[in-house]
Amino acid sequence: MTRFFFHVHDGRSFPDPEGTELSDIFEAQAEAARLSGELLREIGREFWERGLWKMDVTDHTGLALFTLTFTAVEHAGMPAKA
Amino acid sequence: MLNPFVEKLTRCGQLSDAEKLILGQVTAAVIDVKPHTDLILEGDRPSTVYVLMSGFAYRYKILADGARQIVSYMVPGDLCNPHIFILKRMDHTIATLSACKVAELSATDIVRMTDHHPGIARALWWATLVDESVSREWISNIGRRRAIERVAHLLCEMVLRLRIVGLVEDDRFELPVTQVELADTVAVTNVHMNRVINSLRRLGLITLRGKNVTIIDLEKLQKLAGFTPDYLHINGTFLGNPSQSAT
Repeated sequence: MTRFFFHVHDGRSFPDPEGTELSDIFEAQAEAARLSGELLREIGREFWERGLWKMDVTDHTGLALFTLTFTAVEHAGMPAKA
Repeated sequence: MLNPFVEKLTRCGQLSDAEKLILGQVTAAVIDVKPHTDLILEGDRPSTVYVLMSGFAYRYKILADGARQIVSYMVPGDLCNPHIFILKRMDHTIATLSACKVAELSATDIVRMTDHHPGIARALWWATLVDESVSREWISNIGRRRAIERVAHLLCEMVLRLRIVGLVEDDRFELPVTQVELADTVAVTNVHMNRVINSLRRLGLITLRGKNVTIIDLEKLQKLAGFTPDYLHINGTFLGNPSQSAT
């Protein structure tokens, strides 16, 4: 079992203070993907205030392991906003 | 020493004193069950009605991919279900979370009691309806609430259910459930549950140390959860109180 830390950057989250023990890096990746979905599901409209959502996963020393990013891109076809 | 089964069923206001005595007698004999022990498995033939007299138990289902969904918690005084023996097979597994004391009632016990004591029949009916109501709330909880709201709601519910059977002191109670089990209850990942618990702590709403939960601000927790206690139906039935002399 290894401890992994899941830090979400969404403009309001705190760093993960204690991490979670998981069996290996593959489980951490699976958890990160699922967790991202669960968190993004709750954001809704607020996501568009920043248009960027990031999750950095590190080990207990703070060493960066992998990052998940969710980005919004508005194209020319967007109607004008008031 | 209060009998949690009698305490809980008394809430529906349908039991005479004699009926309360009978319910106490029929749950006097208990068996000790170790933590994390299955009492009856999904698929088994249900012939026994389990009444939880002390400790925590839960009902769960295992999906084809091995994922577990915990579908309810049982606290002292809860039974499952009064008429389970009518079904051919169990559609869920019942297991202990902590060490438990369990009373076992047979189909004959139930039929005999309900045939001769209408108050008991109505009380068991009420208990079943409350279980159904709680299930509906849990469906709404998992379906629509944000993760932190789901956990807040669950904790608000546990406070009330445990208070009825005298297991809450100064907004403190024992919840012998691991974070993984909590995650499997409100359908979020383990890591998400970790986040939620830390958020609830940071918001000054709860403390959680092992199995000891303290609700620091119940009103704020209820507001976060959008919790109202109505669905627990703890204030009786529409039928009114029977005459005390009925047996």
